[in-house]
Amino acid sequence: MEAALKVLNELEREGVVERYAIGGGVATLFYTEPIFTEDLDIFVILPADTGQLVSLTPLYEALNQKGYRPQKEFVVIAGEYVQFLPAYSDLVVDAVKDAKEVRYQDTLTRVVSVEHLIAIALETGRPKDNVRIAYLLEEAEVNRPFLLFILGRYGLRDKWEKFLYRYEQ
Amino acid sequence: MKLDSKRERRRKLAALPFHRKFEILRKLRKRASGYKRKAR
Repeated sequence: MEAALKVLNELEREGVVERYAIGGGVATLFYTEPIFTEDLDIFVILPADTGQLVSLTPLYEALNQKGYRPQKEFVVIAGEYVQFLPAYSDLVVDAVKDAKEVRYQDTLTRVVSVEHLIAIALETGRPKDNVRIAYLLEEAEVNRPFLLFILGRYGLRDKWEKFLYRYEQ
Repeated sequence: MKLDSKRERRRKLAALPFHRKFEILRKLRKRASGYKRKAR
């Protein structure tokens, strides 16, 4: 894992990605007890994200030069199945920009805040995302006012009310 | 195990450093791959 994070930091230093942050299951386990997840989801803001079409090609080419090749939707880096997800909405861009810096042994990395993680799961809305939200609400320390602020900013308040109605049943 | 002690155990696990949690995840993955092999 640490070796994979070092590669991510390298990509950022080289300007291949503007900024990255860990999301998904690995971000969830950062805030809770360890849970099972197969891959490492990485949200990336790409340098071309200013109005042009988003392309992962330069990122995949840079990884290829380092000897890491794609396998289906993943790139295997030092044994980790890494999935790169370009920041696909304003919420995810905000999550990456606001991600907190954390240490993994000797390596600095970034993890999306738990409040953003919940908002992204709500926006995505698959059954497994709803399970994740319920789990995070029970297990993690969530700053509710900040969560409500994010939900309001990205038009997710109605969805949140519906989720809470179902969750509290 | 009583509910309180389960909760306490979860709280302790949640407080582990990131890399320690990842070591546990690695064990979970190893176990899951064993189940997959058995299932085949």
